[in-house]
Amino acid sequence: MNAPSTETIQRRIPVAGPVVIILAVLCSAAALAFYKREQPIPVDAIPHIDRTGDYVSADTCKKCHPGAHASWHNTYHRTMTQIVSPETVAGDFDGRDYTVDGITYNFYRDGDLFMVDAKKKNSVGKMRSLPRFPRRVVMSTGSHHYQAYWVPNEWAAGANGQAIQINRQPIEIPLYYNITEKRWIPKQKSVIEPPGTPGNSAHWNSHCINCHSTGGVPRFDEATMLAESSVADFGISCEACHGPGREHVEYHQNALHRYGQHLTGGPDPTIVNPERCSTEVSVMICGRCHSSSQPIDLEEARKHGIQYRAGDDDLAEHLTFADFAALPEIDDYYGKDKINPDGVQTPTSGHTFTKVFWKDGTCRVGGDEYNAHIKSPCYLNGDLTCLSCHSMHASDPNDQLAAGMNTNEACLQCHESFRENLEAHTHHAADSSGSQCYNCHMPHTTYALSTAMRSHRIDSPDVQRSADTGRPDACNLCHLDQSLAWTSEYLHQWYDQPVATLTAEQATLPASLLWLLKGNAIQRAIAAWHFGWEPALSASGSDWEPAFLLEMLTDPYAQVRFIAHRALRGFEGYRPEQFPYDFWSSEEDLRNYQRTGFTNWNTDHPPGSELSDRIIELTGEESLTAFLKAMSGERDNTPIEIPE
Amino acid sequence: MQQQSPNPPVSPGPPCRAHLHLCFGWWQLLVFLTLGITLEAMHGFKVGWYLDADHETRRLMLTLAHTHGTLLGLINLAFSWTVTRLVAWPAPQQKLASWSLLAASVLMPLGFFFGGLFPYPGDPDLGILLLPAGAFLLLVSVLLTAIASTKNG
Repeated sequence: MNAPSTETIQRRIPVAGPVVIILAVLCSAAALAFYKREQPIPVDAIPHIDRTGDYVSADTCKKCHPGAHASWHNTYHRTMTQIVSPETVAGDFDGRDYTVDGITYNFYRDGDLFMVDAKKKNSVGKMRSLPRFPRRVVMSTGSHHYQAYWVPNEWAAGANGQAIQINRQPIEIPLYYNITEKRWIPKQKSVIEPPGTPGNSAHWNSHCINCHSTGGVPRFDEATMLAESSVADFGISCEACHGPGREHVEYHQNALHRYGQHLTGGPDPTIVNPERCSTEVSVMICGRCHSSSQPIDLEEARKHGIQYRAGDDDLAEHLTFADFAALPEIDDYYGKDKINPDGVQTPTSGHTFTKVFWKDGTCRVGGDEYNAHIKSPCYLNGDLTCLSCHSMHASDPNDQLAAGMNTNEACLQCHESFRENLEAHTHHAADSSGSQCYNCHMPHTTYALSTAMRSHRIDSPDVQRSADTGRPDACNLCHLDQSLAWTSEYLHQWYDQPVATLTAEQATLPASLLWLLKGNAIQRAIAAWHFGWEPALSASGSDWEPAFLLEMLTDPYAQVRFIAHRALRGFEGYRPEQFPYDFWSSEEDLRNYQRTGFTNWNTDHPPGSELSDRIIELTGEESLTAFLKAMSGERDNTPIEIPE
Repeated sequence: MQQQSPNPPVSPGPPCRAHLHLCFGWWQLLVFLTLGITLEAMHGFKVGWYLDADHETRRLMLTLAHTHGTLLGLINLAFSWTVTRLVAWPAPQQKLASWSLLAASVLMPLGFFFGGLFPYPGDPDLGILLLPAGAFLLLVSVLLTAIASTKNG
C-alpha cells in the first residue's frame, strides 16, 4: 500500500482544521453539561452585608493577621450565624415530617438548595402547604449544640391592608436540629419552658443581630415593623472583640506606620487588644453579649444597634444588666404583656430578669456569665478576666479554655499557696475530682443548651444557702447519695462553717433526690444532668441512679425528660438499643416507656437484692414506689422558664 | 626588592567576565535550588515554623528568596553568554552592568530571605530593605545590557 503523497496530506489539512476546531468546541460544550453554577441566596432574603462604615470585616483582617484569622475561623463564634450552603448545614434534610403545633414541617434537599415545606390540614382535612411554602432555607444560627434555620419572610399585610414584601427579615422555623443527638427537636422542647407554652419566633433583625453578627445595624422601623438591617460579618468576628477596624486598617496602610509599631512595640491606639485592657473593660467586651441584659433605650437599639464598642468603658450606659438586688428598679422590656417584636416575650409571669437568678442572686442561665463573673470575689477583689482562663485564639473550640486552664492551674495562677498542700485544703485525694478547684467553686448550676454548665460566680459550698435558696451546692451535686446534713457536718468540721438549720427531709434524705423529684424544673434538670456526670457516679456509686431517673421520664417539662433520659441511657440495661425511649412522645407513650423501665428495674433488682436494699437505704426505709409517689406528689410545679 | 609580576593585571575582558558570571550563576543556582529543596522538605515534614497560618509572611518571603535567587542565577548564565556575543560593548558600561547584576543577585534574594526569617505579623523583617537596592541594580544591569545588545545588532 502506498503512503499518501504530500499533496494528498495538504488537501486533507483544510478539512482537518475545522474538524479539530469543532471537536474542541464540543469538548467545551460537554464540560458545560457538568458545570454546576452555585445558586446564590437571594439578596433580599437576608440582611445585607455593609462594610462601608467603621467595620471592615474579618476578610480584611486576614490579610495581615492570617494566624489569628485561622484560629478564629475554627471557633463556633464564627459560625453563630451563617448563610446556608452545603458546607454550613448540620441538619438532616432527609424529607421526613415533623409536626409542631398542628403544622407539619418537612426538610429536604433540592440539589444544593435546602428547602422546608410547612403543611396544615385545610377545612376538608387535606394537607396543604402554607402560603408560599416550600421555601428555601437561607440562614442558620448555631453550629455547636443546636442549629436553627431561617427562611425568607416574604409578605405581610401593610397598614392599609395591601400586601407588602418584607425583605431582609428572615423568619425562624420552630424546629432546631440537635447536632449531638442528630435529630430535630421542636424549639419549645429544646428549652426549659412551661409545658404548653405557645410557639414564638425570634426576630433576628431587631434582637439576634446584636450578638449574633458583627457590626449589625437593625434599622428597625417601629411603625411599619420593617427592618433594612445590615451587618459587616454574619457571626461573631474579629471586630466584635477588637472594635471597629477601619481606622486601624487605614492608618497601617502606610508601611512606615506599621514598622513604627513593630519597632516600638506597645499598645496600638488604633485597635483594641482585650488582653491589654483593664480588668473591667476586658470583661465588658465579653459581657456585651455573654450577659443577661437589655438595652437602656430599646427603641434606639432597634434602630441603630447597641452602640457599645469593644474597648470602651461605658457598657453600663448602653445596657441594663439583670441585677437581682435591683430588680424592682429595672423596667421589664421583655415582659409578658409587652408588645414585643423581638420574639423574646416570656410565657411566665414576673420580671423577665427574675428567671435569670437562683434565689441567692446567682445567675443560673448558661451563656450569661458576665452577670455571675462580676459578683465573684476573684473579680471584685482581684484581676480575674475572661481571658484569665479562656483564649479566643489558642484553645479548643468547645469551651475555648486556654492550655492547662481545664485543670487546677486556672486557679493556682493566683492562689499559688494551695499548690504544695492541696489535700490539706480539699480533704480529698489530690488526684481526685474532689480536689479540682472548679468542681467545688464553680459547680454546674447554670443551664443552657440542654446541659448543666459551670457557674461563673466563683464561691464556696454553703449548705445553709443551698437549703434556703434551692441553689444546689457543689458537694451534694457530686455526693448524690448524701444529705445536706452530712455535707454540713463536714463543712463545719473542715472549714468551721456554722452547722446548717435544716428541715427533717433535708437532714435525712439525699439532697440530690429532693432536687430531682421535688424540685422545680431547673433543679430537676440540673440534678438529672448530675446523675449522668462521671465524677458524681464515681463518688456515689453508679448502679442505683436509674431507679430515680426512670421517674423523670414522664416529667411535664420536655427538657427535664430529655436530660434525664440522656443520663439514664448511660447505664447498663437502659442503653438505646436495650431501652428505646423518646422524650418527644405522647403522654401515654411516655407512661408506657416508664412502666417498661420500672418493670425491667424490678425484675433485675427484686426485693432483698443488694441494690434493692441500697434503694431502701437511700429513701429512708421506704419502698421505691411509695417514695417516688410521695415525692412526685410534692413536686414544685412553679412555672419555670430559662431565658437562654 | 619587590619582584615584578611577569604578567601585570589587566582589566577582565569578555572571556574573564563571562567566566565570572558563568561560575556565579551556577553556584547561585546550587544555593537557591538547595533552598528550594529545603522548603519542599519543610512541606514534607509539615514544619509549623514554615507552614502555620501565622507564618504566611515567612512562607511568602522564603519562597520569593528561592525563586528570585534561582531566576537571577539563570540571568547570570544568560549574561555570561551575552558578554561573549557582544564584542563591541564598551568596557565601562559592561563592567557596570556586570557588577550591578552581581550585586542584585546577592541583594534581592537575601532581602527576601532575611525579611522572612523572623517577620513581624503581616510584614517582613527589616532585612527586606536590601530588596529595593537590589531591584534598582538589576534594572540598571538589564537596561545597560539591552542598550548594548541593540547597538551590537
